[in-house]
Amino acid sequence: MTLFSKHLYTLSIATSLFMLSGCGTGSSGEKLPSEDPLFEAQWHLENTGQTSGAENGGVAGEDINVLKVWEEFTGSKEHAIAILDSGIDIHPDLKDNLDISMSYRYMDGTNDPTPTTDYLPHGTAVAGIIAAKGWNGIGTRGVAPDAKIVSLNVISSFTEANLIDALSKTDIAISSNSWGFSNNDLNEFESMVDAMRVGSEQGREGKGTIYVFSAGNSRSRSNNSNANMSSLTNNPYAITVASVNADGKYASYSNFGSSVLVSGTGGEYGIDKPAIVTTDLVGLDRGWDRENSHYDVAGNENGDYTNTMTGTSAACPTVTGVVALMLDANPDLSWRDVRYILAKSARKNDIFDGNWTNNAAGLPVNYNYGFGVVDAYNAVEMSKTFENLSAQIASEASQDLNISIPDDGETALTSSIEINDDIAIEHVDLWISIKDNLYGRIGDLEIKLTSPQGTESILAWGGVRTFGYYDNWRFGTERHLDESSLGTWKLSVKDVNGDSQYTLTGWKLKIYGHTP
Amino acid sequence: MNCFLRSLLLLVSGTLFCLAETSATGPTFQLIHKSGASTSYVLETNERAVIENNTSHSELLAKSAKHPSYKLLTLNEKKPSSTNIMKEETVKDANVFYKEGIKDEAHRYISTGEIIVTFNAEEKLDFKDFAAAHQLTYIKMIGPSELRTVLFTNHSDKNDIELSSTLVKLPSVKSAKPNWILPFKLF
Repeated sequence: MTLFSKHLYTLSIATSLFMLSGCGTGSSGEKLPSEDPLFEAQWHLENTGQTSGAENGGVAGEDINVLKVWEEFTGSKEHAIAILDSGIDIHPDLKDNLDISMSYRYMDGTNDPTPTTDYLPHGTAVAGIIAAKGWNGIGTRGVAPDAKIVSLNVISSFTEANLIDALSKTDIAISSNSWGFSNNDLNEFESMVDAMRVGSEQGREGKGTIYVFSAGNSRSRSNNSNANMSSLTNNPYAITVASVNADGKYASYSNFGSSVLVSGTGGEYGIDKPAIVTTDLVGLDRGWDRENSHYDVAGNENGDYTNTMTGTSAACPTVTGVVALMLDANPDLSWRDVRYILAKSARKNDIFDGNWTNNAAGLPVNYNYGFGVVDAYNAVEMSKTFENLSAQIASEASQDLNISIPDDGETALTSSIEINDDIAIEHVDLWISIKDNLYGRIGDLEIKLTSPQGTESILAWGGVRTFGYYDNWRFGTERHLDESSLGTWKLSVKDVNGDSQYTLTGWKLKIYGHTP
Repeated sequence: MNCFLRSLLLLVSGTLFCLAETSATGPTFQLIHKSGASTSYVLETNERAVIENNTSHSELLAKSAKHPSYKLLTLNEKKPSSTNIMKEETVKDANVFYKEGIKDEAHRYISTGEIIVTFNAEEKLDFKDFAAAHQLTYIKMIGPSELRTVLFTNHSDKNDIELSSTLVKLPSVKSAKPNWILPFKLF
């Protein structure tokens, strides 16, 4: 054997051994987890109990179950994901997936995707959770590492007109919204819901834009923690996302309610328990680094990543990323199919939480979690062979009344409505009008809806501080998924404090679904 | 607001009465006047944005005489302009409204001099003609045409809330409201 052939032989043996060791890219583009140095800290993708820079780690297995999905699907450039937020930095881990031409900054009407100040890393962090490039040898990895992201910087000019515009763009496949309103009152923006209705009808050439919204972070306050207090998080089009931490339990801040569909992984604050590791504004003098919370680990010497992203802001994009994977697996899914699959494939977590109940269709549901934590693998598997839901149908009925609500603090006023159509339920809306003699103290009122089969939806918990008027206010509930609409629906309204005088003047029910 | 007025506000007593203007087609705007010990005047919209009296009593009376159906007071706060809010620079004074009279960022609505109007679907209107008839300037349509939502600049002598209240009574209008900067929260 010549010297050359000996070297060639040695090289071929070494290469074979190398490939057998699994240290490189496998055949057929198999993605292996070792090529993003900060991936190991991303417990939401693979929870091994790691601390991610916090004092304590979480519980192994409490993640979104995405690893096996990546063997086939990583997100597609065919489905643009709009991130309505504070802008997206031109970041080494995002630039390959960022579409600048589709981006828009409302402050100055330009395509500049970047934030307007160094104090706003939020949008960049959200973007990284969704679509940080994977297996590129740097930083983190997104849930959908090859998806296309677009910045719609509404925070730069946060007006109703701009929000309607951003929510009604029909060239967007998925709209990710980790924002809301800062007061804990009723936030009625039916104009934005209307924009989402149009997007659901016209986006993706009729299959519908898919809207994902954070449920909100008010749990630790005495005020409004109910996602049903905002039009954005209780309507038929939004996928409203609560947050779980690395222990697989509801995060300390997470809102809840009948309108929560599923939960994503938002973590805690990165001090006692892990937050989320994701992209930050580039450089040591921008973003979270400015707040003296530099994530000091190998692979983050330049300060381009953070380990303190948290909130339902972080939970929402984990679900957005899963939706991107679902569309990659089956681009023909409608917006209703996506909502349905997410709910049906979600993982029932925190099994000892007392709020779990089975609805009349046998689906486990929980005010804290919706139908459970998003499960990427189950959702994608279901998506592959899913037969589209049949055309949407709806049934509605209403009652005009003028009945005083008892003020003894114990007796509830009840009213019934008959629905004569048999619909397999996807979502229920309820409009209610209540006159009160005090200045908007609707927080006194506990409002419940019970389906013909006995499943209860608490729409409002009494005894909280909330300003507003139930002046044809719309509530929404996801809890009756797959139940039949046929029969008597019951409304119950109770003044839990019993010191005011309220009058129920009317209510209306509208049930959305499909033919059973 | 001086200490005297602030103290009066804290002594809420007397009769509370509402003068309601209702519209069959859209949001309503109400004036609530706290009488008795309090001399605070507030204007309440359908979204319950409340303008709190923050000037002297004589200035209040003068403005009330000019516009008897509402009370509007500029709070003399310098706020970033509507189109430049994140640049942290002061551009001009803006009319600032505080919901329920709670003066914090979470309840603050900053008017922009723009009105957002949604028209009833069945109405076939020339939006520029509509603008001319109501001392508005047509800016643009918002979103797809199906939404029938249009943005105007307010050039009338009415403030954004009063003009919205006038427009919403028109048969062609489904809703009209100031296109104010909303109190956002990143979750």
